[in-house]
Amino acid sequence: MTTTLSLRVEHLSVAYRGRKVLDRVSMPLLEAGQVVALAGPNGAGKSTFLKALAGLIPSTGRALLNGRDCLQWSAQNRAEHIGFMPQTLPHNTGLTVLESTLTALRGANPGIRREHELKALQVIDNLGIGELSFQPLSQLSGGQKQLAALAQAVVRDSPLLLLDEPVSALDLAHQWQVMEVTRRLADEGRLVVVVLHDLTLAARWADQIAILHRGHIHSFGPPVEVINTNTLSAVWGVRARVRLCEQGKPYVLVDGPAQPQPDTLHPLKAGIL
Amino acid sequence: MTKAGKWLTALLTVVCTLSTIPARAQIEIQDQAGRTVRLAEPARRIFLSEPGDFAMLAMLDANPAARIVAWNRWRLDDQTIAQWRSIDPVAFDRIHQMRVDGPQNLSAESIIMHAPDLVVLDHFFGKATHAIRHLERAGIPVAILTLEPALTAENPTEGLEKLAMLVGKAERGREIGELIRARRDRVVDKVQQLRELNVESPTVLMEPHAGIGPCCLSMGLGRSIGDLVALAGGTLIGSEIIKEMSGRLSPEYVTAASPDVYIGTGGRHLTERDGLVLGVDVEAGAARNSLGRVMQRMGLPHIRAMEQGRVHGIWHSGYGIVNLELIATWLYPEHFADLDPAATQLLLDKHYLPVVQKGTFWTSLNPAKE
Amino acid sequence: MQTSACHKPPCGNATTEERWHTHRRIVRRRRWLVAGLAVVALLAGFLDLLTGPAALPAGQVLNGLINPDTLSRPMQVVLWQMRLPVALLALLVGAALALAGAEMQSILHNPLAEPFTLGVSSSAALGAALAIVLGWGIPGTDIAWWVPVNAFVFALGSLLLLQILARWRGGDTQSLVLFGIAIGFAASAFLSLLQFIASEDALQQLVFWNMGSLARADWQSVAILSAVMALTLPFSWRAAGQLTSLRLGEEQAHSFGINVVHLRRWSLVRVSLLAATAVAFVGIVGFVGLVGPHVARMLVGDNHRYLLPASVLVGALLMALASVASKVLVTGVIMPIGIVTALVGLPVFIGLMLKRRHTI
Repeated sequence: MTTTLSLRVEHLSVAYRGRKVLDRVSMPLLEAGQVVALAGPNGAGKSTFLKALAGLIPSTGRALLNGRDCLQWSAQNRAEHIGFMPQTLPHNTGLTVLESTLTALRGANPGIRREHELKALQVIDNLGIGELSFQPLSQLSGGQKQLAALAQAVVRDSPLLLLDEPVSALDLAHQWQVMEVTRRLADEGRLVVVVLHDLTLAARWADQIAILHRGHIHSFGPPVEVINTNTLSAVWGVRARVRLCEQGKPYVLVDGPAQPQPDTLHPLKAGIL
Repeated sequence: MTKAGKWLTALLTVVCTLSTIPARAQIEIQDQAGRTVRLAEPARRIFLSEPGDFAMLAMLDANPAARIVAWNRWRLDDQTIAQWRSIDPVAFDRIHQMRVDGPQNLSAESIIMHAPDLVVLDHFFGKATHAIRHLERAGIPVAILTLEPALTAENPTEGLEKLAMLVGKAERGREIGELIRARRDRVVDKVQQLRELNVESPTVLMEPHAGIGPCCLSMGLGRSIGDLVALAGGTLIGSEIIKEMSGRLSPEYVTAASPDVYIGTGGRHLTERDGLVLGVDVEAGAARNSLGRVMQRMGLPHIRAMEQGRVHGIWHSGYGIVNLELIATWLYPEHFADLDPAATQLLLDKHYLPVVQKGTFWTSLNPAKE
Repeated sequence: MQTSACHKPPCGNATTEERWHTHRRIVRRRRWLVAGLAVVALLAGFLDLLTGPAALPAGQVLNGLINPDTLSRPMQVVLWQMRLPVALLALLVGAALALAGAEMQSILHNPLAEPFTLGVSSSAALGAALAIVLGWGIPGTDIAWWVPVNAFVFALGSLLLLQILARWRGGDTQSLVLFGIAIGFAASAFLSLLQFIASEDALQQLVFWNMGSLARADWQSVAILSAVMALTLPFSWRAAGQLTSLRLGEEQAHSFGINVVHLRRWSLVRVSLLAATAVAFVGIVGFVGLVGPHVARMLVGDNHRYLLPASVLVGALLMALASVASKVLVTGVIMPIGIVTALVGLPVFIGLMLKRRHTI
């Protein structure tokens, strides 16, 4: 665990079947100890960004982790430094929560020691699913599965954590728990990049928010700067009010769809059909 | 008697006795696959792979069942079995009846457990190289012999004569061989003459298992009954098309070819399948009716053979030589009027089989032509 | 928190230490299960030695194994040249097919995958048919070997063709399965054509080969299959951890540092070798490759460190029992083994489907 971790993304592009999903996305320097939220409407490219960083899909550009381009690394090297939690989880395996966490810990290195087993149990406990240690993944609810997947991402102590919608299926209590864990992990010196749909949640827990819109970075900065009615209207197409809570963090109240912009004209509504 | 006389008598008795003790000669033959088969003494515990081999052994030995320890009776019908059993029911019941439908199902283990002293395989089961290897390793002699006379071969009864040697009946084997050779040559020589006289060769449709399925299966020129037609001077339709033992011809082809003679083969096993029924304990009328039914199938009612009344049926388990004579008389009725297949069968049955086979073994649609 | 009741004590408010002990206990139990499976498989193999047309009581069999001279020469041949190779080949073929099935189910993410799903069996049958019907064989080899060698070459070839086709389209599991089905259909079509032109003799031989048979077992085939198993087992074992990771999803496995494409490719190579060799010697034997891994999974879970050995042993056990059944089901007749595995495998398969709880 290094406290001097830094990540700089330069001109990251991902093309899929000729279509540019990410178009020369650059981000300012991200440093250890931060929770960075990635937000944006559906199809903006948030998952793609995370997968590209994790080296799961081919991309062009550079992602300098401590000055070295991690996109060029071997899978082995990446595994040591990056922990990834995918959006879609397998549902039909009989591996138990503990087994899957141990598998994640072991990765490509065989040989489980007692320390490893204890560590895995610890991580599972910290996430509050200790009782499910011996339950097969296929028997867990959606929320429990997410926590189990989070355990897999977290157990290797990777300095960079990439979490793709870790709370989408969780109830309020679990949401709070997971975000609290991400906060704690960041405070311990990691860099955590989280894809979140809920802007209020992002605003509450993240140090910086990056808003992605149609494959581009629309804005980047602390929540209070980034979340405003103009952005909400331009990017999400909604009319909303932004208020500040007692801690000075913004929260969003959506009132309805924004006035239709020319480039989002629906044929039906325009009376063409 | 004087003292010298007594001694002389004693000496003579001893000499005579000694000379009548058979020499313990080892029996050695080359089987039809070129393998050397050695027996210390004539075989008494034989395994036979082909159902018809029982009849062949019966020609050599009055009580074949006593020499057989296990036998593949496979498709043999109950009537024929009953017939063979009647010779010596006790010995017959001791035979282990097996049903092996092909060389890949021949289990060496099942044979070994009966401790045979000779295993006889015909050329079909002779392909079970795996099993043969096991048997030889177990010290059991294996002879690959086709016992049924192959009338197209130079020596038709080679297999039977070799078996005769293996069971200590060489003389009898030779007798049968000479008889069959003589009768075969009688037919073949006549056919040769007819050929030189440019007598036209009749076209023949020979259908095996006549009646099951639509028209028509046809024999080709393989090692089987189809060869008899060629030997007897006939021309098998479809022989250009069918390259192996048998194949299928379309009804259209048959109608267009319109063969001069139709010969179907049948047996008791075709009773349920509405085919040509012939064999032991079959009644003549029933046989003829079944032949009539068989000829109702599409493609057959209008062929020349039907118009000229030259439609016949043969038992598939009959003596080859009898079948040859039958076919010759059907193909060239005037030229072979002197042949008497019935007499040949009776001769073979009476002299060489322990039982006289009763039943209908051939039939014709036109009774006068039978 | 919607937690279902933990079904392995201690739980609830147990400490980490206590849970660790539970974990160790589960691991230990798994090891015992695997050991137990080994014992049962060997017993089944011994039972296989005892069954057969020749009556050989157990005591004689044991003596005959230790000291062959205690048996008469024919019985020696029966035990050492016939029954022993059959029993050993049954164990080996079952093991090979189940191992191949386990790996396939993991790399294809498909619980219904077995070595023959990807068209291997039809291709192998096509190879055998070419030898039996047309007399086509590799020049230079002994004619007696043409059928197994052809079957092997075609089985291997079909999987190679599959790899090439799938890689051309991206190498994902879906295209693998689709191309496999296509190859299977093509091979079946050619096979039907060959069956149509075959003589009666050849047809019977071909049909019989398709049904699978242990009767052709001899020490040579045992040796070859043993060699193939010895060659592939270490590599399978080494890939066990990676295969387990694959169960968590391809993305996850990738993020653990595993080269998934590499893993899949080499796994398919192992599967090809195992399936092709088994088919070459025994013909088409279905269900063992499918049911074996499932039963193993029910016993020891999805961790491939235990699943692979358990699959091997369950497969060997199933095949040995099938061999016994084939000799015993119909008196006097040794049924083709492929029929027995299908007849027995089908109800077992349905039972598995009905009992589905956590796996599949």
